Amino acid sequence: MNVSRRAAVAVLLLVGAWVVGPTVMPLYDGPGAPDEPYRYVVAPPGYTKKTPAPTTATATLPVSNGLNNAAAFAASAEVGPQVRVFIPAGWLRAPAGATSIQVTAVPSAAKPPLPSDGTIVSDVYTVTATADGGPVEYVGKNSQEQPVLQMRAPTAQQPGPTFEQFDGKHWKPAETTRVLQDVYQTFAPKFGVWALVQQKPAGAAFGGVQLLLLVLGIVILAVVGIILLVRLVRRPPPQPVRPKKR
Amino acid sequence: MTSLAVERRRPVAGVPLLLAFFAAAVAVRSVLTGPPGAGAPLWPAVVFGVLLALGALAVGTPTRVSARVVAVGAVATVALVVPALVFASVRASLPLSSFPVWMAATALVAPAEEAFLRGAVYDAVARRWSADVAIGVAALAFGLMHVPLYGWHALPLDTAVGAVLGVARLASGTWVAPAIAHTAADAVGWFML
Repeated sequence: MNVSRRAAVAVLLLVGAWVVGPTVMPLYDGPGAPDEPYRYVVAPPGYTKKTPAPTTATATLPVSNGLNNAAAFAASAEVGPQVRVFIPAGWLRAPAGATSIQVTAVPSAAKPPLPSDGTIVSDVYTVTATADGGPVEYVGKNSQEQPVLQMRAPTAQQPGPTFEQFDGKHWKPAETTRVLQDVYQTFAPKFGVWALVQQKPAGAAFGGVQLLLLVLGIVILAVVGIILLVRLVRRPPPQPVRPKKR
Repeated sequence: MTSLAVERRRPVAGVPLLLAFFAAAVAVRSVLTGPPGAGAPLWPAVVFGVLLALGALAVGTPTRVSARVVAVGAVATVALVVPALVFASVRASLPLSSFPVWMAATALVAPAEEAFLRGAVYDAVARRWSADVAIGVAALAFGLMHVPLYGWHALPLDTAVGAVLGVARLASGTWVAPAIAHTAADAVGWFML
């Protein structure tokens, strides 16, 4: 296989990975882009960082035949965004005569009733949609694509928080996937009030397993370094190439 | 042919040894980084880059810079960035004020990763097996090294990125071309986060 074909295969793999992979930021590598400190509506006790107020995620969608004819993607303005909402095309139905749909995710402070199984560690986001001031319905439940909600946690500490949705009386857990180091995702088949909830008290930042990993890594590095050094010292000089006898 | 013959006789570090070195560097970096959310420090990544650079220097790998190498690097950059522009749904630049420090660290870490993976590891695997296996091993190592920081979901994308960088290595004959592409793609990523 020549280089061109290999290149074609590699690019196809790359495109395939983008197509089938989760919605992630296009940061391939590097030291990692640092997030700005989490912006709370009301900071928890002990949070000393001075931050601006969190922002609202907003998207405006055109309506065609009563449905949103384009996917809605709304992200708040923090670095990285504290909330992202994705709603596929055809999922939202607007009242007759409406020309556009506005999707918003508005931050607020946690207030009672609070979850009984953990602690809210993020802002509380209320995801809504209106069409020229009127109500909007979710209708695309049979679509292959699902509405997605992503929220950034204040830290990437693990075990991380999980999504919970407030049903008007209680907070209910939702299936949660960690999609980036401190970003979590859930399928959001309806509007509502969402938050990230830490189920258990966060462990120490530098626990026993991490210490073991660190010691193990240093030991392996030292052994490998010694082996490389020995090999370098023992490396024989390059032998000249002798012409072949005819 | 002569230089190739000499290269083939040159003792090379074993592939398992190189990968063990790499895994250890990744483990140390992951632990030192700690929770990588807000305010995650850059210095563990710099330590990681220095370790890899030392590893690549100790083993040795061909380093060449030419117009062709730069051109291959540029083409590979386009190959990495265009799919991201097409498929990524997020469009927001990080603050410019933080860019210089981050870019300086990236300009150390990305080439160090390439010198190690597409340099030392690629050479060792290609000599023992073939260029295709070398591309695959270096790509898989590249994908796996991101798992501690980004999670398993990052493995397919980063492995595919590693494959593109591996082909750039093959096309140019040196790790410098993938280093150019890797660094440039990272830089573009700052403005697309």
